Amino acid sequence: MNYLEWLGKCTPTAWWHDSGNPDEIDLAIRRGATGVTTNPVLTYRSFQSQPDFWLPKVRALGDDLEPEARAEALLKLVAGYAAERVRPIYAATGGRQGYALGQLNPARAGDAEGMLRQARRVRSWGENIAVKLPTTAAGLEVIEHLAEEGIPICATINVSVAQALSVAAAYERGKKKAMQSGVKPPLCIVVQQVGRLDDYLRDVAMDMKLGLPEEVVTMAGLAVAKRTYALLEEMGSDCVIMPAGLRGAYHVTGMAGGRVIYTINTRVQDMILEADPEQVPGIDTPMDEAVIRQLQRIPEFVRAYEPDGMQPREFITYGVTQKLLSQFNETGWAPLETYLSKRASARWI
Amino acid sequence: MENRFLRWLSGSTASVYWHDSAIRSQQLEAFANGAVGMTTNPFLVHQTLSSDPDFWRERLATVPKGLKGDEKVEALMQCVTTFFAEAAEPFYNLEKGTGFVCAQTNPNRTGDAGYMVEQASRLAKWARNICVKLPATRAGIEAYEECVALGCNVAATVSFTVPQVLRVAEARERGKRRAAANGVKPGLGIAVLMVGRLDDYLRDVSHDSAPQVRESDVIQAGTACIKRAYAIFNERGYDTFLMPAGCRGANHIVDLAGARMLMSIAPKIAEMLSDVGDFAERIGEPVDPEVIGRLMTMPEFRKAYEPDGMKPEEFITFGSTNRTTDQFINDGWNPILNMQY
Repeated sequence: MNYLEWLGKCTPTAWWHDSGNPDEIDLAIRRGATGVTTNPVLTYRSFQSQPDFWLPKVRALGDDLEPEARAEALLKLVAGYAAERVRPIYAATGGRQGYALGQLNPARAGDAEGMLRQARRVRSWGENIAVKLPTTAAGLEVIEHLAEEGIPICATINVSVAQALSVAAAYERGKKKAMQSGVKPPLCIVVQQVGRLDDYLRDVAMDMKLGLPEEVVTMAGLAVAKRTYALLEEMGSDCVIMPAGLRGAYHVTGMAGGRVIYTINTRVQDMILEADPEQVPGIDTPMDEAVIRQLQRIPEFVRAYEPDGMQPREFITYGVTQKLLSQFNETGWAPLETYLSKRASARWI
Repeated sequence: MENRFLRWLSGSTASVYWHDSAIRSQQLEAFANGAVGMTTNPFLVHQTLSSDPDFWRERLATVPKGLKGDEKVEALMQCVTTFFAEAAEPFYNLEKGTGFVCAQTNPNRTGDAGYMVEQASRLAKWARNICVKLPATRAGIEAYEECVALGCNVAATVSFTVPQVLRVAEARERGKRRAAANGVKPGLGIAVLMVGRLDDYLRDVSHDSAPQVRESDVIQAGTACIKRAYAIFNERGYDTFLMPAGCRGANHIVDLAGARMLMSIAPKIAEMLSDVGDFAERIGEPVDPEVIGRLMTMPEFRKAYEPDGMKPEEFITFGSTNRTTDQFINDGWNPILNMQY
């Protein structure tokens, strides 16, 4: 049994595939993936990497949709395909696993009403589609509504303990209302962008001339994810952590055995299979206190690590939030708006 | 096509028009309307190379095959930038800030001063009228001072706020003193303020958590910051040129008309300005205090507007910094790195 099989079959941990490429999705399902994550960038890349597969489907959409509607339709193509591929898993697990994601327009990260309207449309793509939205103050409002309406949730662009706890609280509020009205509370995934936080703090620490060694910087995302996990378990929250943006096998071994869902792209799957780590749970191994103390010299780490490190209105202002929103927007959503369309984009560069 | 507003602005006021794109046809039109300098960035270099391959094919043929990493990106940027540097050379005037073309350092390394100084020194050697663009992070400003001391032309970009441009101007003052002590003649010094990009960021933040701020306030945020910075620069006698950039509407230029600034104007903005019939110098008109009052309820605006709203080590953490840097990386530098040439 290889590490990924062990992780998925012999521990409470699950792992999902992270891309919209049909070939890679097939391979990942054979390797034991029980869901698929995508975003606007991965959607766009999927069209580039397997044009023969997608082009007839894209052309069937015509070339005259409004830009935002076009991006949404293209996202639906890929998410809908992925959802079909994992539907048997959804059926077999009673809806605990077997999802694909439908991400909302990243340009609306501060627009609660717009996101809620879009979320309800995304919901109609399929019963095993979870709505993916950013962890901003506006996003939290939407999450509460989605929980109340029984719509599966994936809170993304989330790098801090404070954000994750706010999601859990918003979900709880919505869940209570759902149960009062006889609605089944949905799945709620809380993404932890571990690698992206490391990347950001590396630059910040370098700018501050702290001279932090790389082996300290690369523990930051994991430290936040572990702390979040412990706090959510303590609260008895139903929310499930999803470590994302993995940079190597250490990100997987560090939370292995926990009640988490990893999202792993093909490259990192290969790295893990190649590294063939020892098949032991790493979730209960605490972080090295000396490493945490080193990281705490970076104020931006403290904001991410402390349960009250940020107020909800600060979530949208955090550096990694803006980096991720920009990437989802400019490198994903914006190119999709005009992909094979006769309409020009109204966006600024 | 004749652009009467830009002809007036560049011909009859203290404002200097720089063109903001690296597409050949657009550059020709801009220069015909009074542009005397050019800004580029990794995004614009990638855009011209990918959208106008026929124009660049012959020039790219001189670039050695098989280059990798920074060496490859620098060679492709050099190809584009030096072509336009030749076009701008006839306008070369250091005191007036005319006849220059910008070339930007690697946006993946905005916290690494030593790396940036080394790269800037290479870029500066391409031609005497190359102006190297560095990010206005703490490290970038340290590199900026170093470049001033070495006599390079430098522009601080990824800059959105009053505290950033003030620290840049101070760095230039220190750099100039060091240059003078070594008998080096200082080059051109620019502090960019990306007015429209600040507005874009504050708009998202206001939608998220500051409903009391209106769209008509948001579109004046960048203008308020650059007007405040301009007043302070004049008061302190800084010779660093402010450069409004990342404009989103005609207002971003119209409201600054007459200022002694180098104005980075993209073709889309130039087109909007061609409809402006009111030729008036508005730099002296303050932004409505009520607008400022509502904007000041947003902590992110206070960071941008107050001279000490951020400490230098906070610049790299500011929201606009991160979204702009990410775009320069993912839609500029990295695509150039992956280009076939």
